[in-house]
This record gives sequence, C-alpha cells and structure tokens, in this order.
Amino acid sequence: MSTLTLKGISLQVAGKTLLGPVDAEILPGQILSIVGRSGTGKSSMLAFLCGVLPAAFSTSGRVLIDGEDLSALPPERRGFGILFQDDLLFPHLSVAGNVAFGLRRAGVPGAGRGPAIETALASFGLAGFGPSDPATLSGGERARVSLLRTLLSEPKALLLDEPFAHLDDETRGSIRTLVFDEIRRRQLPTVLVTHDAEDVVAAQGQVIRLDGPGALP
Amino acid sequence: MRSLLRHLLTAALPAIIALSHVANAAQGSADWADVEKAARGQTVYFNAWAGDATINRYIAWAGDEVQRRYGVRLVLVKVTDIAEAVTRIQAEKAAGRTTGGSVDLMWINGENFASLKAAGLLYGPWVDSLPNARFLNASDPTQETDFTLPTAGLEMPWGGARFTLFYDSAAIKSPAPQDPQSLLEWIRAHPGRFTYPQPPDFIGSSFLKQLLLLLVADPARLQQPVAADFDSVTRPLWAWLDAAHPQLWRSGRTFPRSLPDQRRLLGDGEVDWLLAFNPSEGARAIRARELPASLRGMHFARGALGNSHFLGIPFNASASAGARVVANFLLSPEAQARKADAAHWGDPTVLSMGALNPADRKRFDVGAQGAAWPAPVPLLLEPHPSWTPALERAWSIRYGTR
Amino acid sequence: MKRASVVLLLLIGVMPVVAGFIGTVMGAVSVPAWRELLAEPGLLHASLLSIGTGVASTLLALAVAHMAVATAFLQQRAATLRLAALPALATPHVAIAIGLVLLLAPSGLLLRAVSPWATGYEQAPDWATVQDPFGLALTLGLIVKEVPFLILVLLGGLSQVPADRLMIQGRVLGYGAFKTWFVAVAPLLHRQSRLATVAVLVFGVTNVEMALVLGPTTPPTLSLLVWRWFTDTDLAIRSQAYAGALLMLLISALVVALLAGAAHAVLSPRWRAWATNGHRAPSLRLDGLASRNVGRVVLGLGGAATVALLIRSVGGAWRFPAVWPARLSIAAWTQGLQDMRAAVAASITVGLVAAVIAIGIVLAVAEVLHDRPLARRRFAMLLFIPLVLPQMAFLFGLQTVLIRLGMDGQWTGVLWSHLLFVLPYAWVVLAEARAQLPPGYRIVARTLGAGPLTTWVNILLPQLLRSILVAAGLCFAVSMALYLPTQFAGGGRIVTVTTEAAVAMSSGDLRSAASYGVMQALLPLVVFAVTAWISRALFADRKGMPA
Repeated sequence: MSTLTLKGISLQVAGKTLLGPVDAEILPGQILSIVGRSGTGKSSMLAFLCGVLPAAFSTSGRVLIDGEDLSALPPERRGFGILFQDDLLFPHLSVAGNVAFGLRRAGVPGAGRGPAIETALASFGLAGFGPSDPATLSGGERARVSLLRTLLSEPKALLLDEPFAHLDDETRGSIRTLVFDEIRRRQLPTVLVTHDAEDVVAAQGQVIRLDGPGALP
Repeated sequence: MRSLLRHLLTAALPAIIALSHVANAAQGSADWADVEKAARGQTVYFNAWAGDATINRYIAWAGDEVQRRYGVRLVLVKVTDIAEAVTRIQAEKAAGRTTGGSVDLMWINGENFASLKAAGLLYGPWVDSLPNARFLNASDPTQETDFTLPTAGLEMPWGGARFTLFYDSAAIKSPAPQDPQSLLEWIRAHPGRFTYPQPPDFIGSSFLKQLLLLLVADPARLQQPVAADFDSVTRPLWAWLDAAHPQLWRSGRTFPRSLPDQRRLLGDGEVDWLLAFNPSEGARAIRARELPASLRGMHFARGALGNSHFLGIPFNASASAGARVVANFLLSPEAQARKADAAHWGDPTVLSMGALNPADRKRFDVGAQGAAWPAPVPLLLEPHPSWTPALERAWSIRYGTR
Repeated sequence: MKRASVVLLLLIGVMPVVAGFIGTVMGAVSVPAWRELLAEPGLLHASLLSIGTGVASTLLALAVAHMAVATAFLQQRAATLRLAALPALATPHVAIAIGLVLLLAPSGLLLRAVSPWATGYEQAPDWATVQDPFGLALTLGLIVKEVPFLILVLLGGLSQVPADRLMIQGRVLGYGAFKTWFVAVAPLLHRQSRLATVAVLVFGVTNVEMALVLGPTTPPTLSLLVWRWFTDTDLAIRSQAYAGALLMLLISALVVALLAGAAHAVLSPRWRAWATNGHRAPSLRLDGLASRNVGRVVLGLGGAATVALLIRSVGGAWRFPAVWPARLSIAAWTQGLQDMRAAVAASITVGLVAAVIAIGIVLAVAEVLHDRPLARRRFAMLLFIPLVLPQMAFLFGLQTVLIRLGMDGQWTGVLWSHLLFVLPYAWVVLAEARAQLPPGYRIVARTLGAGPLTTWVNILLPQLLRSILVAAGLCFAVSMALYLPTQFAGGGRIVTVTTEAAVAMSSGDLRSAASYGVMQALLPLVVFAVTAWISRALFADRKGMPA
C-alpha cells in the first residue's frame, strides 16, 4: 500500500513551458486521470515520472512514493509499472518468456518460476498460452499478457499511457475493467493519461485537464 | 735517399698489391661469414613484379632453398608494377623512416633504378662483396650500365633480356619480316592484325626504342641525353608509325594495355603478333597452353634491344644482410642455371660461362629451348634513360589524345 | 562513456579521411604542378570522358533499378529480385569488367556463338566493341555493376515507405501503375537513396578499375591519367598527380551539384506538372515488355560475365571462332587453390574482424543517438565522406599517415583502411534499425526492473540480430572487394583475394585472374547465405520480429 505524490512538476522544452506545475497526491488504489489533446505533454509527463525523459527536456518538481523522493533513482528502481497503448510484448520471447521477464524482480527462485508463471497465466484466462508466439495472440490476449507482465514485477505504482486506445470496442470494456479491478485489488496508486472520456468516468478519480502548453490544472 | 725509397716502393708495389688482395679476400670471406650470421633468422620482403605463375614458383623454390641453407625467410611481395615499391620507399623517406623500411630486396632496372639512384634511396655499393659476384660476365655491357647509367655496385645483375617479336606461324606462312620496313609492308598487307601495347607500358615503350635504334641515322646519338634535336632524331620513327597506325588493330585508335593483354588477343585470334622482352616468353606461353604451339620467335636481323634486370636493396631495408644472402644465392650457378631452364623460367643467365668450373658449366646444358626460341642477333644497348619519357610524351601527344 | 563511443567512431571513420585529404591538398599546393596538369595533352578530352561515362551510367542505372524494383514490387517478387541482385553485388568490379570483355569483345562469346555460320567471320572482326572511343563499353560495365547496388538500396528504402497503401491509393484514383509509382512512391524512395546515388555518381566519374579494363585508351579517363601519375616513379610528376586528384574532386563536386541543380530546376517542375495534370491514360505501362525485362537483361549480363569468366578459368588457348575452348584444364584451380589459401584466409579474417568492429562501434553509437534523428543524419554525412570522395583524393595522403604511424604493411593498417569503407554500410543498416525500435520496449523493460545493460542485451539486441546479420554480410562483402585501400595500407605484404586477382589480371593470366574473381564472388555469397540461414533459423517461430 503506497501513496504517490507529485510536487510542483513542470516540463520545459527549448525554454518554453510545456506543462505544469502539477501537484497531486494519489492514494492507494486511486487513479489520477490526465486528459488533453495530443501534443500537450501527457506522455512526456509519464516518461518523466518513470525516469526516461530525453535530455532535451528540462524539468522541475519531485516525485515521491511513500514520501521517498524518486528523482535521483534509475527507472528500474523507482517501482513504477507502465502500460502503453501498444502492448509492447517483446517479439523475440514467448508469452511465458515475456511474463517471466516481469517476474524477475520478484525474486521467485528459478525452480519455482515455471509453475508460478503458469498459475499467473491461468488466473488471467491464458492457461496453456505460455509457449505461444505473442504475434499469434488476439489484441485482448496480448493486452492481458502485457498487464500480467507488469503486475508480476510488483510495482508500487502504475502509469497508464492510453492503454486501451488500440483495442477494438468489444475488448476495450473488458480489459479496462480487468485493469481497474487489479489496480483496486492491489491498491496501486495510478496515473492514467487518456483522451477517452469513458476511461475518465471509469477511473472515478481526480482529473487534470491539459489544454495546451503552459496550461494550469 | 728519397729516390731509393721510391725504387724500393716501386719494386715492392706488386707484392704489396698482391698481399693486400689476399688480405682483402680473407677479409672478404670473414665479412661474408658475418653477413650470413646476421642474416640467419631474418625475414626478407622481396618486392617483385609477380604476375607470372612460373616466376612465382621459381622464387618460391629459391625461398625454400635459402630457408634451408641459410635460415632466411623469403617473402614475395607481389606488385603489379615495381614502381609501387619505388613510390613506397619514396613515401617512407618523406616520412623520415631511415631504418626498418618495408622493402628489403627489389627487382628493378631502367627508370626505377634511375629514380632510386638519383634520390639516394639505394643501399650499397654491395654487389662486389658477394662471393658469387666473381662469376658475373664482366664483358656484358648491359651489366655495367643500366639504361646508360653506371650500376656502380648498387644493383646486382640477375637476368638478361632481348626484345623479341612472336608471331603465329599458322597465320604467317611466308618468311617473317626481318626489319622495320618489311614489317611495315606486312602490316599494310594485313590490316588489323598487328598492334603493340600502348606506351608508357614497358613493352610498348621498348618497341618504340627498338624501332628508333633501327631507324635513326646515328644510333650513338641515343646514348646521350635528349636535347633540342629530339624532333629531328626521332622523325623516322614517327614516319614509320604514321604509316603503320591506320593499318593496325582497331585502326590504331585503341591499343592493348600490356603484354598479357596482347597475349590474350593473340590467343583469341584477334591479332597475329606478340611483343615481349624475354625470348622465353613464347616457350613459356606454349607450355602454359596460353598460346598455340605454332608460335615462333624472332629478332630484327640488325639487332635486338637488350638490357639486364637487377636486384636492389633500399637504403632503409630492415634485413639488408638477409637480402644480400638471398641475392648471392640467386647469383649462384645452381640458381642461375635453373632460372635459364625454360622449364622453370627461361630467363637468360648473367654469369660468364668462362668463369665457371666444368661441373657448374654443365648445369646450363639444358638442350634445345624449343621452336619458339629466336635465333641470336647482335645486341643493341638501351638509350639514355631520358629518351623513354620523352618518347612516351611525344607518342601520347601524337596518338594518345584524339 | 557514451561520448567515448561517438568520439571513437569519428576517430576511426572520419579522421583518417580528413588527414589523407589534407595530405593531398598539401601535395597539390604548387603552381608548376597545376600548370603541368593543365598543359597535359588530352586533359579536356579525358575529363569529358570521365564525366560522360559517370553521368550516363548513373542516370541509366538509376532508371533501370527503379523499373526493376517497381515491377518486382507490383508482382510481389521483391525477395526474388533481392536474391538475384546479390551475386552481382558481391562480384568485384574488375571481375565483372573482365567478364564483359570476354563476352562482348570481337573475339568474345557472343560473336563466337553466331560465327562463322551466321556471320561468315572466320577471323575475329576488327570492331571496337570494348574500349570504344566514346566509353560506351565502360558505361555499360558501370551500369551492370551499379544496378544491383541501387536495387538493394531501393528495396531497403521500400521497407520504410508505405508503398502498398500509396499504390492502392493511386490505383483507386484511376492512375496506372507506372504513373502511381513515379508520382507517389519513387520520390519517397529517391529521398532515401540520395546519398547512395551520389556515391554511385562519384564512383562512376572517378573509378580506376573498370576504366582500366573497359575504357578507351587514347586518351583514357581522367582517373586513369591521375592513377598513372601517382604510380610514376618520377617524383616531379607526383605534385601533378595530387593536383589531378583535386581536379577530380572538383569535377565530381561540380557534376553532383549540376545534376542536383538540373533535377531541381528542370526535372522537378516538369515532374510536378506531369504528376498533377490529372492524365490517367496508361501511355507508359510498367508491365510493358521493356520495363519488365530491362532489369533482367542487366542482371543477366552480370551473370553471363561471371559465366564467361568461369569458362575462361578452365580454358587454354582458344582461337576464334571456336565456341568452346580447345582443351579444358582445371590446372588453374588446383594450382590456384594451393596458392590461394593464404589470400583467402587473409580476406576472411580482415572481412570478419572489420565487420565485427564496425558493427560493435555502430551499435554503441546508434544506442546513444537512437532518439536524435538530426544528429544521426549529420553523423551519416560524416561517415559517408569516404564513399562520396574520390578514393584517390585521400588514399595517397592516408598512406603517408599510416607510414608515419608505423601502421603500413600491418594488419592494423589494412583493418583501419577497410573500416573507413565498411562503417558507413554498417551505419546505414544498424542505426536506422535501432532508431525504428519503438522506444516503449526500453521503457517497459526498465520499469520491469532491468538495468540499462540487461535491457540492451535481453530486449534490444535480440530484436536487432537480423539487422546485425544483414550488416555483417554487407560489411564482409564490402571489405572483400576493396582493392586500392588494401594495396595502400598493406603495401603488398597483406595479400587478399582481391589484390591477388589484380596481380593476376595485370599479368594477363586470365585463368588465375578468373579463378580469383570467382573466389571473390563466392566468399561473400557464402557469408550472405550463412547469415540469411541463421537469420531465418533464429526466431523462426516468432512472427512479430522485425525482418
């Protein structure tokens, strides 16, 4: 159970303020929605949070989880999990391999990994998919593998970058439900970037609207 | 008193000279033992035109022998033109590398020797210190001077060469032309069947010199450097070429690049003639099945342009002792006899038969050299080196730019 | 650390060229040298010949390559075309040139095939079908050699252009395939292949190897004149050679600028008018007989030249008009294979080591610059300098640099000089492949807990493996074919199959030249085949992998 705190975060590129300052406190299981047109720096915000923003940006503000300042930490030690609109399953690994890559940090000993992965896949309705090539899966299945991979890395907080935008209408609702249910069940503070009104409604949390460079919340 | 001393000295002089010769000889053999000692374990990079598999195999044989006998490793550095090695040494000199050079021994003559000698890029004199130098044919003028330049012990004669014309006797049934005039008549009667490599190719330039030596009013003039009378001296040559060119292969607008290029043309049946600087070229090409067995060789009756080719050591050679040991071996009767044998190369020897003992002399009795071998004719010496570039440039202006 | 890799790449790939070029400029600083150069008989003629053959061959090769790629694309046979282009790409210039002589000369295979029964010729006629005064044979040779290269470049560009959708778009608007291709797809491809086109053009204007074999001799091309001066032992001519090298550079730059200007001023507006005139009549059809076959003819000529070379390598004296050599002998091969071992080993070693080093450095730099397209473009320009500069303009200066460093005649020197020409190819393949990997992979892997190195090794590298294999094959083939750089840096001490082929060629020993030429083509093909096989075997059950 963690709390995610954003303190005075702003992004500048080439001397112009792109976004911010943003202040927010996101409690366990809550979802902060950031909405706005494209080009308003929503994705850059997420990149800043998880520590992969290109050097061309200059930034100010701090990110804290449970009061610990993450700003100086490399991405792999910040404790964020991230989901993009593309599922970004690693194409050279099997489904099980993808999930195992997420499981690594959890420290499950080698011998226990196979069964642990199989159980996890089954719990997401993916029993028997382990050896499959990710490219042969349907969109919904891929989204579930992607979510599972992220959750198994046991993040302290979650970042969602338009995670349902690429899914077809039928799948979108069920995946959204699955993701949001998991967030609440695991009590993960979450930042959701979207321009889909249905996402915002389902998130049931605070909303920050970005209307263009320099806009205030 | 003074005159007595003079008398004594005069009387003793022959004895003193004789003594010093003995001492020199002893000194010489002691020195040579030192050279062989220094050479052991050295690697000698021998830069040579190596486009001929037969020659390469001969050099490989020599390499095996010097390795076995003297512990010298001989590496053949193949160049398409020895000028590459000369420019490399020039570049090394420019870069200040006065020792540890990349070339140890090189196969040179003529302009390359002139360039190296003029720029002081040759080691030596060293040739007289070789034990086998005593077999050299001192009466051969092509060994004393290389394109009229004194060799001065800076390069070792390795082989001889005579300008030779080969023709296909299957195509030319009547007696082959023996002088420039009858060659011209043959060319007029057989348009498109004669050509020569384009100067400044070595063979092409040599053909110009061979013709000039036969056509010029006063051949002795060519032993002096080019001067203002170039045009008048060379006029008969250009007259001959002007008359011949329209009747040559490709009407004289295109020429073969080189001897090998022309050899292919002869082999394919596009022309009937081949020009070479080695009388053994015909026998070699027949044996290699590159040319038909009906090939015959000839010299112009009044004389063949001739020269020797040499081995030189650069001033900055890394293994000059090894290079001298290799050169001395290549000068041995054994190596020279093998080289003269058309089965192994067919390059005429530079040794004097009179200087050899009977056993060594017998090594050279290899029998008939084959039907393609030309009958001997008088030797015509190379003109002064300045004639070569002058002829090449004049040729290029007249025929090379239209 | 990151900067170090960039600096290293610049140091290895660019610095020597600059140093060599400066050496050339210094060598040419001499008024008498320029006076001598300009007074050289036939200089203007030679220069015009160089320009004419270079420009004509480039434009024709470009047209042929476009037609071949367009037809192959429409018939969905791009993969076949790529395969067909590889052998000719791997065959070195000299080998192609000799093969063409054996094919086209009056005593060549083509005329033998119809003599004397159809032509009545018992003797080879005195025709100038090669080394003709206008350089037509040279132009043809350059086309045969450059078309496969351009085809592969265009096919590479095709994968980065939404050609499928563009073609459909054009067709549903009622345009024929030909017009759609040249209006919608070709301009995008052209932008991708501009640098390669410049390299082809400069090579065409300045090449030595092909002009030597196929070009006229009275006078020869400017490149051959300069080459002759550089190899002259008379030091006085050396400055003239440096001046000549600079003149060649000026001419190449001028030709590139003029062609670019002409394209801009003349072609562009016409193209625009043609593109927007709304004419849908299929006056020119891509599936016409000519356009469909012109690529095949050119690639076929390359293949036939190689076959002619093969026949010659086993044939002895062979008088016209016999269609087949009187006696066949594999002597050149049995003897040759013995002699070849060292050269083959050297070629393989240098090629593989150069490929590995080039790929390693480029991967490191590509990682640094993967999200900086502008920096990548500038870097590509720098790395391409050795390809767009006439080789003679910097190789002679480079030789002096190597001698000063004590690296001439050494493996290191040869390797370095090869890297100059190998690096740009590695860059073209790998830098783009890396940049095209979605950035999300790295972010996801990092947030899943992997460090930067683990992420690169486990996630990014496997996705680049196929590109790495392609780059390896290409780098090896490029290294294999390098003659002048090997000769200059190796000083004859480092002997490769290519330098041996040149030696055999210069001696006119066509049989061993042919066997070396065949070996030259064979080695890269084996590497291409092996890398292609590995590439297919790797991740055979993973459809989502980038090709």
